[in-house]
Amino acid sequence: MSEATVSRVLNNRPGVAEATREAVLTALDVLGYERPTQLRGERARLIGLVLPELQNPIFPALAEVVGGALAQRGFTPVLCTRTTGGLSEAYYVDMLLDQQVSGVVFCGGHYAEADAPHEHYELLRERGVPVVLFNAAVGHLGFPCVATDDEVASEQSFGHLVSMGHTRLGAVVGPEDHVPSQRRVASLRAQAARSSGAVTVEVAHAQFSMEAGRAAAARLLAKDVTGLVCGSDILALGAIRAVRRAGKDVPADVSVIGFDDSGFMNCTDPPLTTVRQPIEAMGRAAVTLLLNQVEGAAASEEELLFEPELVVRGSTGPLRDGAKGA
Amino acid sequence: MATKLTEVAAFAGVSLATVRRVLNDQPSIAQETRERVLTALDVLGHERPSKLRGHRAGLVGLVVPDLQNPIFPAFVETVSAGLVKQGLMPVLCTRTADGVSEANYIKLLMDHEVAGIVFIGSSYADAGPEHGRTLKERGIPVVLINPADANDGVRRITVDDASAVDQALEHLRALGHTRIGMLLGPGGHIPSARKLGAFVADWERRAAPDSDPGAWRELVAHTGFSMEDGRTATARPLEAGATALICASDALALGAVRAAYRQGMSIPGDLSVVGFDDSPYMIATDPPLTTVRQPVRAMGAAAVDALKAQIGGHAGPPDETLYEPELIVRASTGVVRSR
Repeated sequence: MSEATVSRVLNNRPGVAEATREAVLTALDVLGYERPTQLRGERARLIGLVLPELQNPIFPALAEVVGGALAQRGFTPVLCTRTTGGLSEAYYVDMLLDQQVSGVVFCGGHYAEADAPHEHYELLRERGVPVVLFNAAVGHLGFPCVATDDEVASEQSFGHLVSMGHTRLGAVVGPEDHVPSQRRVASLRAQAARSSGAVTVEVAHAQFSMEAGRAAAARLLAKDVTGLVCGSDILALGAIRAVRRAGKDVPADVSVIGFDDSGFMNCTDPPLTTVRQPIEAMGRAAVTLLLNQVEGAAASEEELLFEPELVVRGSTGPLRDGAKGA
Repeated sequence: MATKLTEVAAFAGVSLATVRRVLNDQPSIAQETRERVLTALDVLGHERPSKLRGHRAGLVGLVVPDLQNPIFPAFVETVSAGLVKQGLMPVLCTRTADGVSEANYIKLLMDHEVAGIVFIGSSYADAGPEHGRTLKERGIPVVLINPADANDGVRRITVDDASAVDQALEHLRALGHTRIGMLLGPGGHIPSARKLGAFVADWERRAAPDSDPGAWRELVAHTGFSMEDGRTATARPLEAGATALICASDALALGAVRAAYRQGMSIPGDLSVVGFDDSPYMIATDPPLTTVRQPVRAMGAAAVDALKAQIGGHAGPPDETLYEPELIVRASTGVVRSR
């Protein structure tokens, strides 16, 4: 083995195969040298908290719940947000490994995107770092997961709109490879199929921003939908803007349902009907799952499903007589 | 000791002089060299000098009162991004409802041997005199963004609260408002006190010479920072006949809007409301909120620069830098209606 490789291992640099790394550390141990403090396997009472952004108020709300639950057990969250023009998730994972974190909580990220790179999750598993994921993940990662039940969320939205006479529904959801969005779309389509053609569902994908939501909703409005089910509150705010730009009214002409129930959604124009994620309970469950592993419990791969609730405010209403429906 | 140092120098492949310079934490050593020496120390089983032990971490504490008010996550996001670009990792400390106090967090942060702390909308005085003293004694680099109390002798990055109020007053006066009220944070909260100072100074400039000097008091309410606080506190200035309200945060402004709606008033027809912060999505509120925007990005970047300078031992004077806010006019302010 080259001196350079040994040096890379001792300085805990990336790009060394796990087997090589083990070989070098074993050699150190055998020769009676102490391992560098970084490599002794003692982990800090730090937990990585990976969030896609903090603009959408659901993420700071989650960070607050998770951070509070961690602090109560003497752990401090290391904050990793992939801001615009920011750094990759893999880079953050390297930095978290450098910090010797005891575990990582991912709240949204590549684990939910089928087409994104997933090698850094593999790295965490190799190093034996406990991980917990928020909301649905791609199938093969094998980490425990705390998720809002997307099927129930879709049923609540579908049922609410159909009970008010809407038959032409549209779904404004995240990107095509986003697993929670896939689940919601599948559930909406299954329900439409059960209606034997009485209810139809059109789908438009968008990045998770208000502007993208507006553009996607505009595509659906061109197909004369009267009820929009959105993948986040922010997408719903964009959808409302699209409806107005088309010269129509919410909810008189088009009803809009969000997802999350993040802060201040009762102050929007109109106040947003939305599916609330029980983030308080989910955040606490995630921390418990994670810290149990940190303290030596075996890692499970199970997915804990939490029931969301439909919060009805002012952005949904009955289909207007003569409105262009089915 | 000399033999130990020779061993370390040999293992690291550097000169004895270099080892000494690293151990004394002198500048002008390449990071790579420094790490080689420290690794040699570790491998040979010698303890690192205490002041070099924390270096690995490169952790920076971010202390915020809460993440409910969306201005705090906005600051956290921009400061975090700046820190990470400098190779520093932010650790997040919020004072939650569950009662993990700021004092506790500061102890946690010091246990992690953080390289510095950025306080956002709070200050280490909240941690109690003991922790404040420890921070100072250890010489831990500290930067305050919009501190909640007076902190002379610490580097501060602050939005110009007086300018915010002046801009709001000018806007409302141009719309014909003469009875203007204020919703502020608790007494003793410095940003609120500064806003009130600008408000009172303006009042005094305009007051008739023989008028009651305290007549502005009925137009001003001090309260907490939640929307519900704002909603409750709105009663006082409304009773005093205010046709417009300047609020110390967007959340307070949204509370004022709700209070007005609850009384069957229209906005801005019956009451104009100006927020403060311009937190995300205030464009989507009912009505879209006229507010005074804090330059969050510029302030966050300045805080990171100031902290980085202190960590590098190049601290400038512990001054306060004031940032100019800007008025964003949306739909919650309008021409005064004769009452």
